[in-house]
Amino acid sequence: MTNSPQSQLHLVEPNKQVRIGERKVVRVKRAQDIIETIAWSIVLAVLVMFLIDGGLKYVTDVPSALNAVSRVTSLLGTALLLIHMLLVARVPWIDKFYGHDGATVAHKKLGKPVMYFIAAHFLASLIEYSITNGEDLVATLFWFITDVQDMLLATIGFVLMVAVVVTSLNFARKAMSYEAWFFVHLLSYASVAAAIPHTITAGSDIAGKPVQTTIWVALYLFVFLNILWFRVWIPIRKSFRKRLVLAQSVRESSDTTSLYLTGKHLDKIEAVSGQFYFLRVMTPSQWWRPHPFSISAAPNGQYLRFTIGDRGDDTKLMQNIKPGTAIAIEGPYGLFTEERRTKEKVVLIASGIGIPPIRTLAESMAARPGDITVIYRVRSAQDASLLGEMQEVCRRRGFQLHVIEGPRGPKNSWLNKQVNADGSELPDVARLVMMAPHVSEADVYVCGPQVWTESVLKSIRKAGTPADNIHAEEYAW
Amino acid sequence: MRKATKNIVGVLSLGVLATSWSIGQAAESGLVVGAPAATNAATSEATPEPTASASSEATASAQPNAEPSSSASAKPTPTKTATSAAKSVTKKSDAISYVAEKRQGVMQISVTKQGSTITAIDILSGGTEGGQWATVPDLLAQAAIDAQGSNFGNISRATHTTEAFKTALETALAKF
Repeated sequence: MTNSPQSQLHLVEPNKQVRIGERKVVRVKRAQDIIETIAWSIVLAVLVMFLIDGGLKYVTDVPSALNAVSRVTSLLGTALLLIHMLLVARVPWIDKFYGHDGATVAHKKLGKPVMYFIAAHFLASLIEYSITNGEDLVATLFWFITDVQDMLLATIGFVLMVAVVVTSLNFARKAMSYEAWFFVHLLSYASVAAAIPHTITAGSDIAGKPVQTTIWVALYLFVFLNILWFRVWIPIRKSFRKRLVLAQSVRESSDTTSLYLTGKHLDKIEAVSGQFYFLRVMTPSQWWRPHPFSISAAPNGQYLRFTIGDRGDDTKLMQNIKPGTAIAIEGPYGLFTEERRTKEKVVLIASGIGIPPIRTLAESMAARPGDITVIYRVRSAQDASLLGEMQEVCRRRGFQLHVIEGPRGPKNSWLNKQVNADGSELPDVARLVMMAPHVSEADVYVCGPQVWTESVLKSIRKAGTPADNIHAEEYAW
Repeated sequence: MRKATKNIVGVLSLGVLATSWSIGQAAESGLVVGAPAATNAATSEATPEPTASASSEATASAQPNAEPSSSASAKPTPTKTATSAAKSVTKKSDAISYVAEKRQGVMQISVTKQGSTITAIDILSGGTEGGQWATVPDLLAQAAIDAQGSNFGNISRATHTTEAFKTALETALAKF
């Protein structure tokens, strides 16, 4: 397959043409506006239903005000919760415009507000009833749980939701194992399901109101079916069709390994250069853990290749699986692709194990010699993953390749230490512009560790590249 | 969202919210009388009521529906001022005890009939208090007059009160 010398490296035919120009960006922004307007309309619609229903008309004293607060917060919380869930359903029409990372970041941001709304709803109704019943909060809570229909379930759902949000906060994520977090997070579906009955039996905004009932049932069904279809059914069907197995693993450097997967229908693989899949190693202990990896060779119809760095966790395990092991895939995801390119010139910047998507983009992007500049930051050229391939791609296609090796420069520099003859050191921006003179007029793709990426982005912005032309993908999962 | 879109959507949303708020303020009541469980629906006048003993022969009486507009404060409705030939008779119901919103309540009403037509219902005790609940007694009385008996649907969120009211109404009607 590819253990062959570099000169025999098999490359795919690059794209013949690419559409460039500002209109592409405008089109994406328009689509984003439409999606965000739809999301906002859902929130607006539940408020409108509440107001038309006379929700504010009967606020005369403290309990009735609390009742209104409880209703509004539950409606808003539920609407946001449904949007929050849809964001991680891997719906193509969301991912296409925001990327899997963008959708996940939005999902994370919405988590806390949803919980605040539901907590406010819980407290408001608790206080309302403790005032009207003339009892303290504990007695009222006990009464809720024991006497009121479906409130026990709803209270359990609320407790689960708090657990899910708390375990997803950054400090908790760091302290917990992935397994623990994953299982708690799965409970969020149980949490939502547990809350549904009380909205129908005890709530005042659904039961006996046909319009509201229709709207809410439609919203719930829409989200549920999207999750079922795009998160569960499509990946299962795809994995069964493709029947991917590990054909061969090849050591690329002291800490990276390439996995070559083969299977059926590989000519119909949808991935384009720069995208990633979630991989599941189908062994009894590993099948439930998805790992995101970028493809490291443009899809060529013969194999699917991923290059994996050893980051000390499961990735170590991934490097040591036996040939013949079945691998399930979910994807492809990501917008780190030529689809987002709007300029003629391109600068590709990678560091360490960030190289796979950069390598595939260099392989398949439409370009004339000189259009693309590649900057590859490595610890040492002797031990750099895919460096030989990168050099071969750039040699054949006439791209300039800058390999930056050695210890890091001063002050959070993303380049190496380089001292001029007079003892001065150039700032990163200056060195970037020297390596890629057209950087301000180019699309820039950056892939590497998060802190390093941020430092690169700073230099690129300083060099004058518009935000719309800077592409970096976060593994925010 | 781009700035222009945000502004347009924001202004539109404010308009929509304001409109729905004013619709909500103008609306009759957040509480609605549901459809009756039985087959005949709310064509209120001509339908003979199965549970009450009314045979609707006396509908010719020119008596306008004495709407108990201020009955929340349990003001006795003038019953002798009726301008028609048939005599108005008022009877009290039994006191029905019930639990609603975890509070023990006692429902007692008085029913005024002219001939065989129910013309007024007063809730003597058991009305709910505060907020939108203030409208419940009115709704119940009006629903019972419209249905000429207890064959009307529950008021959503005031189910226990409605049921107690219906039981009380039946005991009162049984005394005529």
